[in-house]
Amino acid sequence: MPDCGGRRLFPDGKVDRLIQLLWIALGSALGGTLRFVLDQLVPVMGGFPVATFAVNLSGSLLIGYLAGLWTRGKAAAPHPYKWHFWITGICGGYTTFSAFSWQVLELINLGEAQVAAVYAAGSIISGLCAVAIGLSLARMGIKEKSHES
Amino acid sequence: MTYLFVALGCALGGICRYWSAMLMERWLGDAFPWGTLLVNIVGSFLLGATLGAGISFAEGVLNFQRLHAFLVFGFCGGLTTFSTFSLQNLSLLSRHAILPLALNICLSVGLCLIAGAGGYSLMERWTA
Repeated sequence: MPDCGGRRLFPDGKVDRLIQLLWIALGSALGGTLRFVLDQLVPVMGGFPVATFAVNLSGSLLIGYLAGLWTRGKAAAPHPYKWHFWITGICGGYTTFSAFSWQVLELINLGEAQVAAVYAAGSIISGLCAVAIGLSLARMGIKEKSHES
Repeated sequence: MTYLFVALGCALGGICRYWSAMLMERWLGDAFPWGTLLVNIVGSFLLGATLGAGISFAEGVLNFQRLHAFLVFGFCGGLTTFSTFSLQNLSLLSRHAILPLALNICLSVGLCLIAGAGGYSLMERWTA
């Protein structure tokens, strides 16, 4: 923190909060751009929104892995900015619920209620499983590391 | 250029999502993920409203492509989140909070669908 003759240049905490918001904004922008690129590249297959499904699934896997790495005791806790950049920013900006719910509505509107139900339930259940898998992958990695040392 | 609009919208959406999570946790506690539920509903409503207003990605007489990229892929996509939703579901499951888990899933899906459809028909009627 810069110091100007005994008086802080920045009021305490305010700059910290600003930098935190900038990390979230940067992570969200990167994650969202990646989602947009994938959405343009991956076509809709058989009326099924594959791109959003894949984005939400992989994003859930990543958030589970990172949460597993960073919530194991105090020693594993990352710098707050790291958490904000990766979890709130990248994972949060990359995955989307608005496109998901819109696609479910579109499928219902097309009379494909069954596909809509499979897509909705499939996304939620596989998202839950992906977080669990990511979490246990991270925990396995930590265990291996502690065995080696 | 379109990427810039997506990135900008997403950055703003992400910050709003963070604020919502912080405020809802301060007001209603952290037993239930109110913040994520709120942003997902608001984002779904905005997406429906944007499309209802005729702002689509297709190139037309009026070129709304960039506005659509900013609002739909950017702001709505960045505001809403599926990864945090999944993480919170697992967290509820691991605490054996089955009722809040079921409530979170049903409320999220149900209210987001209603919000999306409502936003669409509202804006469609308003701009017609």
